Amino acid sequence: MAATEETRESANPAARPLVVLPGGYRALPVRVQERKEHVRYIYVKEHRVREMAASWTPGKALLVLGIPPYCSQENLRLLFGKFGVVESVTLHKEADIPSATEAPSKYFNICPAQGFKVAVVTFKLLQDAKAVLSYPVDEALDLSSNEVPIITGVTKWAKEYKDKIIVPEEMQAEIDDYMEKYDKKEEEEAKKKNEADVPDEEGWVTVTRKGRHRGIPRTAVVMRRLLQRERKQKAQRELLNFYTWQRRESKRDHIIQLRKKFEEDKQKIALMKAQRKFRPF
Amino acid sequence: MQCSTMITITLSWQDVTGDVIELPCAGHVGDELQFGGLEDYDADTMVRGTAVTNKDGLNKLGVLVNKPKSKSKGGIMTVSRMRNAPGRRGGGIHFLPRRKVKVIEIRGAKGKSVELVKQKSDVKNGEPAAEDVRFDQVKNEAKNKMEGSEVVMENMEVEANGDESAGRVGETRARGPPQDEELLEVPVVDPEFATEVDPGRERLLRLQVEELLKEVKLTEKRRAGIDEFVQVLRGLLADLPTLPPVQLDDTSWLPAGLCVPWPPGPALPSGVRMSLGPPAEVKIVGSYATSEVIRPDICIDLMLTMPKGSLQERDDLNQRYLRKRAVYLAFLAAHLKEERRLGNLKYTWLSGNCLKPALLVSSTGKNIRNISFRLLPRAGLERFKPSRFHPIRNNVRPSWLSVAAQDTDIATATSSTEPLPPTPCYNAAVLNDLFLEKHTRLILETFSSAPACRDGLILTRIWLHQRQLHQGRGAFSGFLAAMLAAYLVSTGQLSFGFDSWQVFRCLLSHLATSDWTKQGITFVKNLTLGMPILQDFHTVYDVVFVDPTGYVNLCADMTAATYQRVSREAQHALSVIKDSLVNPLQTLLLSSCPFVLSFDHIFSVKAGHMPAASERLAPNKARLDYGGDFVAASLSPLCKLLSRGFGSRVHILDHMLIPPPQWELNDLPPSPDHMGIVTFGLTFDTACAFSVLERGPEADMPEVKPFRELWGPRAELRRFPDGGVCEAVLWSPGVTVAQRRLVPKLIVEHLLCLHGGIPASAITYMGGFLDPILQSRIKGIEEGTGEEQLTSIIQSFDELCRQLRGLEGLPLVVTATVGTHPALRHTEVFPPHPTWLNPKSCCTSGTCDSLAPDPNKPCPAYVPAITAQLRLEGSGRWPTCLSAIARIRAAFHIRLATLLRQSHALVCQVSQSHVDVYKAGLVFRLSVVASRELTVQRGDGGDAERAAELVKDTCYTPLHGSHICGLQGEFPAFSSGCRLARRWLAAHLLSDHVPVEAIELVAARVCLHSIGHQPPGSPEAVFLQILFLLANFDWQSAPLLINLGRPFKQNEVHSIESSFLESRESLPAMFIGTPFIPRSSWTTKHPTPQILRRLVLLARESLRIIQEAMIQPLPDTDIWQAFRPPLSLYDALIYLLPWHLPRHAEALDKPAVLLPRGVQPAPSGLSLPQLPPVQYDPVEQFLKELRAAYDDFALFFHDRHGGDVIGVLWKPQAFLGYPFKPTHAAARNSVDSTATSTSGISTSACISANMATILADVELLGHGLVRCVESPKNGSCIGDGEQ
Repeated sequence: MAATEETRESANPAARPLVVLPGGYRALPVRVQERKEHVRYIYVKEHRVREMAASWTPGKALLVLGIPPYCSQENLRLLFGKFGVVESVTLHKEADIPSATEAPSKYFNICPAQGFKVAVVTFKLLQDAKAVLSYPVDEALDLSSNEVPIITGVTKWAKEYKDKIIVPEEMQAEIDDYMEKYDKKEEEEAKKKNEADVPDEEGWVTVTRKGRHRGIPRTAVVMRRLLQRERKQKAQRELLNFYTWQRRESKRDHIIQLRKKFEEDKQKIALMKAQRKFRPF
Repeated sequence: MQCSTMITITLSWQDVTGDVIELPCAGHVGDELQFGGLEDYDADTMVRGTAVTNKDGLNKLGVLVNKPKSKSKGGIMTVSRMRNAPGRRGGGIHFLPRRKVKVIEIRGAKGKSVELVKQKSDVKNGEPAAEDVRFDQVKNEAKNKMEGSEVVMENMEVEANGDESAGRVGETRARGPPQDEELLEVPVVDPEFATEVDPGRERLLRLQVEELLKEVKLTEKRRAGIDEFVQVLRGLLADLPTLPPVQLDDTSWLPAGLCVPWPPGPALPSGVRMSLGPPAEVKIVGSYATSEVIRPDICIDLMLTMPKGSLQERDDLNQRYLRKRAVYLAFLAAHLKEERRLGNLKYTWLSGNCLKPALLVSSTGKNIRNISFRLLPRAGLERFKPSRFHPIRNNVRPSWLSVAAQDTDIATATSSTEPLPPTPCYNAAVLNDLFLEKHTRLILETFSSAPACRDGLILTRIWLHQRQLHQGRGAFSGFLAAMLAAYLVSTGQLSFGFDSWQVFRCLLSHLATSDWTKQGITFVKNLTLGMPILQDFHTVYDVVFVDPTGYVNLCADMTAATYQRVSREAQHALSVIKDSLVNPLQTLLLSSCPFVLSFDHIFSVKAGHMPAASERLAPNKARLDYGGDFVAASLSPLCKLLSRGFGSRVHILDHMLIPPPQWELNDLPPSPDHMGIVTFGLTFDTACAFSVLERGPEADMPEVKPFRELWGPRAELRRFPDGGVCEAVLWSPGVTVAQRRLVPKLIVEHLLCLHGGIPASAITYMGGFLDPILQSRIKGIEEGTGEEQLTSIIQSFDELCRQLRGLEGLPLVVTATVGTHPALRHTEVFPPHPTWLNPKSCCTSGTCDSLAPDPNKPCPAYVPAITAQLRLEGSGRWPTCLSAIARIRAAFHIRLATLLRQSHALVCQVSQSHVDVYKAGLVFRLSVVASRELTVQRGDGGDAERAAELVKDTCYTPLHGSHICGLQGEFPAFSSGCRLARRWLAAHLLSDHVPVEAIELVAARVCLHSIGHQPPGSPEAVFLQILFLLANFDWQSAPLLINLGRPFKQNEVHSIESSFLESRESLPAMFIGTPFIPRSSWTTKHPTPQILRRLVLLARESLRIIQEAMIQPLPDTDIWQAFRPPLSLYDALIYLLPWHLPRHAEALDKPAVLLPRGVQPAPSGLSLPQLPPVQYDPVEQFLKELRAAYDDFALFFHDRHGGDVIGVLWKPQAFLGYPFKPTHAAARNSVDSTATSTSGISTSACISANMATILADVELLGHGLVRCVESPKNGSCIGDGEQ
């Protein structure tokens, strides 16, 4: 096998010291069982979030970047299991992980699991996470083993196809469930809206921004349409060839326009000439 | 007030002879003026005019002149015209204070004396004061246009109040409008034209024409060089020695090795002598003399009059003159050969006629490289009487030929009692020699004073050149075009006032509307006794255009087929000029349209069979008249025979013109069939061309006999459904559309065999030669190119639509079903065919309805999903939240599936976004369009990008589909041609990089705006024209616009074109606009400029390969070469195992072993079949993963139709080292840690990607599918999967 120079170099990780990258990331060498000679790097740092949840313990979670497409949750568990007990692993598409707004669903809002991914790995113990960050690059870590193989290629696609086959009854049940909640929510909102301007038992009226005359929404589409209408009306009101000066001006404009176009044409010709477009044979 | 102004004006009239007549007249404003003086000329010629003022009052005077009534014989009206306004040319005369006259000169002014006497009453003072202003030598050349009914002359400015004039004029000019000099720069717009097309386009066109002319015309430097060289040649010719008379059959006096360019045919009897010496006269004739010569292949004709004593009495007979001519050429060659000042010497044939050799002298000089001089000997005019060459006279005696050839057949064939057969072509060949100079002089004289006309002729020459009509025997040469122009001038149809483009159009419109095969044209008006009449010409020639002498038919060698093609091409050219979406200059003059692209089917006949054929079709004609050129002799009868056989099936049938060969002095002349083959082209009337039954005359009609004679044993009596019993010919090519397209082949083979004795083995028919590409390789449906399957798919779909509309129990009624799959608009390369799978080849899934692929078995057959959209009736109850809409849609799909299963027993499989319906072995993927979704996406919380996508999917795709589907009805060849193009694109691994819609639109453009003389009528023609368009369209500087659905409006074209150039950078590389979808929505992302460049290159190369193979069908030419991708340019190649390629059978080269894909016949009985894995292609999945992961690093190319290799191109800049950033983390597998500081934190550490690791990962991702990965550039092979 003709491995390139870099590969050979990276195959000997003992020479490499621990690398700390900008932003507090550390490169973690990993390898897969099937291709031991190639070492890949994934990048790890402590995961910090702005809005701390109650259950959040700082330092226990790690943000992992550059996870290869063939690496599944199980593989990550195997990898980080070496350092301690892994509590949870979640895979995401992008580095800025959105906070979940909706309840997870089996059928909807599924992000495509393709390409390189980002993961958040939570350890049970703080020191395990620390151990990952201070892992000296002696040897590449294994992403897969005989028990936890990497599932790719035909096997994976066949499995995906099989998993995508939906049992309609189950989906229907989920939909019904969701729609029931949605309807309830809608109803409540409608109720709230109706109640907005109605005085309650004590005679108080909740005043909102959205009054009875809400006005038009100032979206781009609406504004454009308004402008168009205005222009059209203006054009209808005006007589353009009433005064002599108007006619004269329009003639003059016409000639100026002609000249301008003529100049443009000349430029076009010059360009074509430069590109040797006029050679017939 | 107006009546008080009296003017006197003089017009000058110059007739053809150059005589100038002055026509004076005087009158008041409003009076009708009669300009006398032309009475002698012609009774009808009377110039009338009206004196007028302009609306403002009196300060401008003029005269409206009616056109002199016809018969003006091309004279020039030179008038004292005072005019400087846009739209007209001419000079202006301003009357300045104190009645002094100032003449403003204009460009192109020539000295012509015009007298103008003006008497004017002083309006201001009220008292008439006559005053004569007389001025001579007014330099003014104003030509009236003859074509209009009246010519306005006005704007004779008289500044009554002259004191302030000068200053005021200056003021107004500063502000803008008419500045004379400036306005003159703005080119004239033809008013007649302005109504048809946009004047801006016309103006640009004229500028372009100017540039084009500059490009092709000779420069002064080269002209001087040529003239110098001609002087040298003259000197050399004058110095030739005079030899004593030589025997014609004895060529021992020639230097050893030098050959005489004998015309074919038997040698002359011995005893004929000729004396040789310097030419009596040397003259330049032809295109150089008339300044019409165009670059690059410049050929200057020198006519040498053979010396006295070289010719004797009766040399006009039996090719004696022509043979002497050949000897004289050899004499010239012998003496010029050694001359150092001359370049290489070669023989050639004048206009491809093997009777008339010529000597080519190439030049050696600084400014005259690549210019050749052609020496054409001829007899002196006094030598032969033209009347001897009356077209119906015989000048080659059969008796001579039989004696000379020792062939008794001819003598017996024409017994002495019969009149001798006419030899029109021989006669014309001799006469053309005699009158060559006269014709040149005529052209020269006619156009000497009209450079614009000469430019127009140059344009015509370029056009003929681009259509490959200009050279070869029977070609429509530039000389012929010039003679036609001279003819049009003589009839008054062409005026000297025309500019070059108008002259070009004028010639085209004459060619487009006239038919010289039936109604020839002639210069001669008054025939004298003994001169041939037009009818004589028509009896012996196909095409008739008689020169001024009345004896020469200039189109003697032309076949009717060629003339019809020229005429058709002219019609096409005029339609192109009118078409506002096509740049006429680009299409007509700047790009060539080769022979094979102009025709639907091409076939070639081996020339070896031509002598026999010509003897059978026109006995003796080839030897007597054509001097042994059997190919030329048989062309006309063959074309006539075939067009009789084809009848209304073909529009045009023509043969290819063969450019004249050149050969060395030491070689014998090539045989007239030196090309080895004769190529014919056919364009079809697609409505009836492929019908299998030819209905002839009724049984008892007199036309039966010729019909039976034509068709021979194939004619038979048949009873027709309408009760008629008719003669008919039935062709039985087969049942499929592709086989029926070969009916013309059967006709050609039958007719040529029956009447010409040419066996089918001698005919190479290039029709349907690309059909194997489209043929499906699946067992049971091998034949046919898929048209039948497409129709049956559409039928199944229609049935499904009916069932859907009739469904009861849906919350909202289905109002429409719109197919969005290419198969439903006839453009899917391999239409899906009904498939039922054996459950054993797959594994069963959770539900019993569907099968899932089993990774351990060969991939099951590919079952594509035919996508369609369902439109529901409007409802206000759709939710306003996107995720709720998605769920409601899914619920709809579930309900739809249940209902279809209950009421129509169809197997369905539901998914979130669609429902798959398994019907008649096909899978239709229906998805409900929620109209509310678009509104929500466009609203506040929506995603603009997703909204644009939705618009494309739900609005544009159905619209596009319906328009493309409509095209198929209009152009039957569209579907297969477009599919061929798609297959070609896929074969070059580009199918994922160029959207389907783009190719469909290009195909639509080819059909709607064809470059050939009519829309392409066969799949090959559509395909070749698509390649031609891809290769030659100027994607960078012009938008490709197509009148799809409805024609573009003028202002739309304008706005698109102007905005195109302004914002070129931000627009897609391949910009395709249609009236309904003008913003090129399909090509916004793909193809990228790099891919487009590659596409253009590939198209050019493929086109070249196919063209060559079509013209010279050699046994070893591999036409599939045009479909084989060059793999060497890829950085890495991923080879795939056929085991998991479900479409492996679609590969270009049929694989040796076809793996079982589990296909079984349709299950009988009531048991419902199980839904096979839909749209399951491991390669597609693999590519999707690769692109998702490595899009920043590489491009992936694959042939989706059974390709077993994926090409990888690296993006080099992605492999540079980058400082670490979270967004760069993916796939960057090597860390450069050398810069790590002691503190452990590195600020400048670089990460970079590593090709080898990426390739290793690629192999890992495609586990089970990838055989091996190779990177040929490094010569290494990475990894080897299990075999």
